[in-house]
Amino acid sequence: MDVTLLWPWVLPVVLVVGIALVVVGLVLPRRRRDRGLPVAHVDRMTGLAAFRGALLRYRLWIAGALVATIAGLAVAGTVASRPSGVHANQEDDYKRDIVLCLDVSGSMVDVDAEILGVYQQIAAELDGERVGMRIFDASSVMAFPLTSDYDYIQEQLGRYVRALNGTLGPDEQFNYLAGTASGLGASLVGDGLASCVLDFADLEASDRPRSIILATDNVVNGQQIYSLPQAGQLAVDNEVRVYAINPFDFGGDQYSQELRETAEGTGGAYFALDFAQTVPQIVDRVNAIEAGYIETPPQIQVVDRPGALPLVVLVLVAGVCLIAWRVRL
Amino acid sequence: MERRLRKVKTTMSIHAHRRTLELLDGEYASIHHGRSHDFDDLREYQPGDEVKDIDWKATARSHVPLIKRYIASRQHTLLLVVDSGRNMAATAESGESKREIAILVAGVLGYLATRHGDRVGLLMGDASRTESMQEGGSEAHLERMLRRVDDAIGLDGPHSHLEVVLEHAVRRMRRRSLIVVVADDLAYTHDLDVHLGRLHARHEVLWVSIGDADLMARAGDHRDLVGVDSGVGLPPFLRRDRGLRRAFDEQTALRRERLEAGLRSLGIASVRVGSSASAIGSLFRLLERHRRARR
Repeated sequence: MDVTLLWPWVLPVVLVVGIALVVVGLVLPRRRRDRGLPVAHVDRMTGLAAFRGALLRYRLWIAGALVATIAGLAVAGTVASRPSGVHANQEDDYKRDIVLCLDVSGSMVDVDAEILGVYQQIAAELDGERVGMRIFDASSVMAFPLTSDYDYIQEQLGRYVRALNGTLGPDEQFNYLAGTASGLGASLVGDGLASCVLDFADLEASDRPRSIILATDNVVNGQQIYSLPQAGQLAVDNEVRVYAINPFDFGGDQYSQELRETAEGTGGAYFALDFAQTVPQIVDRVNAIEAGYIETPPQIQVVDRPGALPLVVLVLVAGVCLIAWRVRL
Repeated sequence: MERRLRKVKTTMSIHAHRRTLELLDGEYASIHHGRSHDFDDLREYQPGDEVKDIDWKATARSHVPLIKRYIASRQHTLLLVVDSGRNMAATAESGESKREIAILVAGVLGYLATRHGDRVGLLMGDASRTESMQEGGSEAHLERMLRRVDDAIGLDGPHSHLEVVLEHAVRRMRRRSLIVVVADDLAYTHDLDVHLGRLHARHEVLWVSIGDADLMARAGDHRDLVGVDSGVGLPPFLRRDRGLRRAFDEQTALRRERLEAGLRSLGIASVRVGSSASAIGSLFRLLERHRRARR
């Protein structure tokens, strides 16, 4: 961290004035001291061997006080000349929002658990980003809304991971599928994606980059209100990028092709989960792509950084006062 | 105009009232030897008077012991040797000026001598001057003397150098006399010993030390002190130093003891006067000591 002096001319001014005061302070009492009560035979004291030691101690105290005073002056001068540094402030507004949009049809459970596991790890390091989660099958259910309460996020993600893996503890049993089967059919991806897009609550008000991690095989079975391309268009309209993860891309099938086109149409990307790509790698790449959208320069501020210097001044002044009291200057 | 002498008398009566004054008188009278056998008169016995002077027959007729007074064989001379250097302008143990106490001491002794019909002379000096005043027997003369002492002693005066003054006294004073040296807490030096020895061989010498102020700060005393010799101040920090105080006390006691021992070995009675309040009592002790030391 670079620290520069905002008013460098203050330091010499303080030093010169301070040292002048110190000199005056040293000369004045001497004049006063020589006007005390007259006593004869001072050699009764000055001739003693112990006197030399006491005088040395006295001079050391005074020298100590002088050093502390000058050091205090230097530090006070430094504080007065405003040591400052540059503070780069990343506005929270430019942190992104992520909605995990998971297809919980039977075939997707393993992949979902893996994605949630990765985001559970990532959530520990997030700062300012908001994460939300929605699961869908025939109908979609919000697992938790966009939030930056990372403890809560981790807790929820952990709960879903355990539910998906079937390792829920005896006292936290819940049916994670509850509410996802109230529509007609299964894996209604278009509806799921559309509801995920609408999860970005403040669609107009916020400038935060938005993205959806969509995990699905896009095998739709039933009547959708939104088709996948329509949902993709909804995402485009709302500046939401969709990153699709498909565990069952067999190369060139129609479902995968549609999913790829939709995802890439929103400015996002499509990842086929195969031997070449694991879920953590995919999430890394998504984050790398998303990082490109956060190009707003950080806000630069020049901030005073006196650090511990005022405390040092305080300690030195206290020391000088202590010595002055001790020595009765 | 007899300001200083009146002050001396007032002090004598305040501190001692009349009885002590007579005591002092008796002490003073009996320190001289060589009285004639010409009877003068009788007076009441005062402690300190020679027992052999008691007129037993007259005492038997009277209710009180009576003393025969003789006309002194000759007038004695009291020479006051006073240090007029700037040391005497310094502060005494009691916080008064040492000059005040010196003048009081000289005044009391001079007054006693004057009352006794003796003549009082003055020799004072320091490093750069020696002043003397002829002997005289009047109170006016004594007053003039005290005034000169008062005027001579000052903070900006020359440095004290008692040895020179004593040497001068040795050379100048031919006639046998009673010499009272008014000095301060001096260190007993070889020179001092030599001059005092020579002086004591011819004269009777008494020594009065005016006690110097304590240099250590005790009991919340935080005044600034300045040495009159050097003009350099003593920082209060040093004056409060405990180790230094111990060494100082030891050294001060040793120094005082050395002076007393030196004077005693010469046969000179000495006393230390710390304040004007204790001056009369101290002088009484001095005269008594002198009388005893002689025999």
